[in-house]
Amino acid sequence: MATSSKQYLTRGEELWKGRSEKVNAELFALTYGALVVQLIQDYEDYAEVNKQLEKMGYNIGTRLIEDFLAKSNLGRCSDFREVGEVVAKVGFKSFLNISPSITHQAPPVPTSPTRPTSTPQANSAGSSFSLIFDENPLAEFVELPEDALEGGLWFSNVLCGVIRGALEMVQMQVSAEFVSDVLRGDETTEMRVKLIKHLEEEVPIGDD
Amino acid sequence: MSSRNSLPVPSSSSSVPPHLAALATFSDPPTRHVDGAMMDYFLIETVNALRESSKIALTREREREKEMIEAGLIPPPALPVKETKDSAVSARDSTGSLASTKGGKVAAAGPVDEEEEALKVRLETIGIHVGSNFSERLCRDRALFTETLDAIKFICKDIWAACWDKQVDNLRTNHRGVYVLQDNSFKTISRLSSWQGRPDAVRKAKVYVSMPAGIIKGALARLGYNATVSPEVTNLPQCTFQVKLPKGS
Repeated sequence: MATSSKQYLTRGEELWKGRSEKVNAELFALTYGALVVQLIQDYEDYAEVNKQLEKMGYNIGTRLIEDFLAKSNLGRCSDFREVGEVVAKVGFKSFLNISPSITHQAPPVPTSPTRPTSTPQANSAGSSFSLIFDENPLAEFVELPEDALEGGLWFSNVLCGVIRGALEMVQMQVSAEFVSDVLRGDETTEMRVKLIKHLEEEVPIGDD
Repeated sequence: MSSRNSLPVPSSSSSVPPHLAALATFSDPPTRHVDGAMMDYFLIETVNALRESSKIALTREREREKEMIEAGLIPPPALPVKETKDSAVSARDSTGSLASTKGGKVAAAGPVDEEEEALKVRLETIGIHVGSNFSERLCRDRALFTETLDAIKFICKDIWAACWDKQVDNLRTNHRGVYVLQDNSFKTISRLSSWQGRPDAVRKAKVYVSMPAGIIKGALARLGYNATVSPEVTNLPQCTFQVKLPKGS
């Protein structure tokens, strides 16, 4: 059943209103900012900090997806395109009260003539979507110093981890990374999420 | 009651016309919120991430110190007395395998304690940053505090409500600069438990309350009161914060 974009937005709005506990976003922004500073001081390596932020996000994502599935009552997504819509319009809305805009990219068409399928499936490995954040609650009071800019810090990298963790729990292995960030002086803050493969549900041994 | 508005007000002694005062509230963007459950998961993972990063930082510091000692730049540290057994160590007997591999229970307590201290310091620093900046935002439209007690009450009511959804349950003072703030069901540790039992849960709680202690400290500092804040947890979920203000304030 193709749920329209508007319906997802409404659902997201409903879920946000229904969240029982809300916290001032500034507290969140301030805490995250101080955390990043501390990690930079401890690791002294921006690539490592990016990795740690992503790892942190992964752990958070694995928990958030449970909460999300329990509250949202949404069924399985039919294809990766729908996954993107749900993430952008319902997921981010219900936890961060933001709605990043989304653009979809079909997977690259296989050029080999031996491949039977001619039309790229929206669900096949290689499909991707891009989330464009015009507001980022993490970066509210943030300005990156020269050092961080040169070192390649992705300030909001935790969000990539959250997406990766959450989607892995629903059997999708994805890669999520930022391709641009306004904190770095780019025009937009854009995250690209690419489907690597679907994970098989593992049947426990002896469970026949 | 005078209050500062963000609109330019004529310097004459007339009070602000009500329609201008109402307009002032529109000049601020609406307060944004994020989900509470998400914030909880985030704080848990923050502590985990800092635990790892503080270990890395400590290791690196020790290496550098070792290099400097070997290069003769700083004198070697005096060997601490490691032979005396501490009664507090018996509580760690349950983690026996860790202690035995480090060759002595007291010796094992050293590095683990140091790491926990490092973690607590980091959490407190983050708390100070959050507390200072957030209290600045909260206090923007109000007059300066005339009394120390007013500042403490601000902490007990406004900061507590903004961070932990309630107000302090009990405030005591000795009227000589020491205040004790008691919360019978402190949000940060109210859902904390440990499969290893109560003492371990209390130990973990002591780590988690470092950030709230920092928030209080930072808020007071930004208001001009340089206090020392010591959190105490004896029975979960009750928590007390002892705030000591320097003499003469």
